Amino acid sequence: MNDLDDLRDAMHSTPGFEPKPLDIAAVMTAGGRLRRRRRAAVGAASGLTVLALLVGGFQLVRPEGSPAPDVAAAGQPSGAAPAKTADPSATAVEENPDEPITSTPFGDVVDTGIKVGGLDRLLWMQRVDEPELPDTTFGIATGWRTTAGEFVVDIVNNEVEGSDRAPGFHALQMAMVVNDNPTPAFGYYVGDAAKITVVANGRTVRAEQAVWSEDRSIVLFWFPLNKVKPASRVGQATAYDDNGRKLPAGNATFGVG
Amino acid sequence: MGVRGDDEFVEFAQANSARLQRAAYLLTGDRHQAEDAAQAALVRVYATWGRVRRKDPYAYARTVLANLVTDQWRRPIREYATEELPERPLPRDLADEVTRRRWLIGALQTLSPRERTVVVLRHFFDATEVDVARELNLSLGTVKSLNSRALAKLRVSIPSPRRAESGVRP
Repeated sequence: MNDLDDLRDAMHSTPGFEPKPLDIAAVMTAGGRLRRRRRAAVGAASGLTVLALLVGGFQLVRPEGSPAPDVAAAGQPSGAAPAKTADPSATAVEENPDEPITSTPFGDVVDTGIKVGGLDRLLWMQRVDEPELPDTTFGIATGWRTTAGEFVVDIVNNEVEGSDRAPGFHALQMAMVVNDNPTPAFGYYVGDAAKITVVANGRTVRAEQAVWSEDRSIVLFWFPLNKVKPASRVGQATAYDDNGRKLPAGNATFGVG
Repeated sequence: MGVRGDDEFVEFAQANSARLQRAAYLLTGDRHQAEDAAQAALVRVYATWGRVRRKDPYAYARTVLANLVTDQWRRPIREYATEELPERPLPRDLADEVTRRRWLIGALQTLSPRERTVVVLRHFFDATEVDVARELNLSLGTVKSLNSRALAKLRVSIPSPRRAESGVRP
């Protein structure tokens, strides 16, 4: 035995210290809470570009082994930050959500008419109470309903810059793959939008829309999965009034927050 | 997290909590902080269990623990670093084994935090220098230098065939 062996031996025997049994149940409770907090933080990610959020959001839910998204394919109209500004730390969300997150809808739940894995793909608003986001009181979520009537969230997104009720687009989210199932691109618009479109892979696609039950000036919208697919090149989100005139884009041409 | 995943985590935590606590004790020198740090590391491992369980959860736990303790030093809660080592107890061939171990653990606490962390990762966890560099976000050269300096401070010589053959230890 040599000096180094002595050191190793001493470290493994640590005279004067005996490990105690840890409370594994408490560890799991705290760990579960931490996981839920981190997931919630995705929806409320502050100070990040839309693109960073999209990349981060994708990695949040991307199943292991599935390909990383083509960053260039994410919607990036004028005004959106270039890909290189996306903070890699935004991708550090560590979850692979095999534990469902449930949500309490704020207002009516909208059935998009899209079925994935035999389940109706739903959209709803949910309350947001984040001290760091005093002007944001709600966000938009997509998910599905369990047979027990619980609403399981796949993606939640909300405004992180300015008021959640400022005129224009908010929380516009790319189509993604969550637990091997595609989710549609979606978002909400504040204003009397009669028609909402984006350009996906060079083709103009019109959104499906529903007025929010809690505020008739707010429109929830989503895009058919067969027209705006995950990793599509999407941009130029535009809202029109009844007369076909363009409405303000607000602070989010392709989704801020 | 499914039931199966939870079962796997419980098995993992039970198998490794003692080792993590011991490492935390080496890093902090405080039994209470050691328990807290080991528990906090396991909390973080559980929070990411779905992602790490099929990879190397032990390496992840080790990294989390080292960085947790390092973060505490940065605040700093505790700082042990000093250039003065306690007097080496006795010539090794006369030293009582327990006394020598105790001296080594005491001497470990005199290292700088980074030196101590490298020593613990390298010689307690048996991590390679490359892994230590990656886990602490240091260059390989820095890890080699920290390790060498720490061992010199601990007056631990690198084993050599001559010394191994000398049979100085009874």
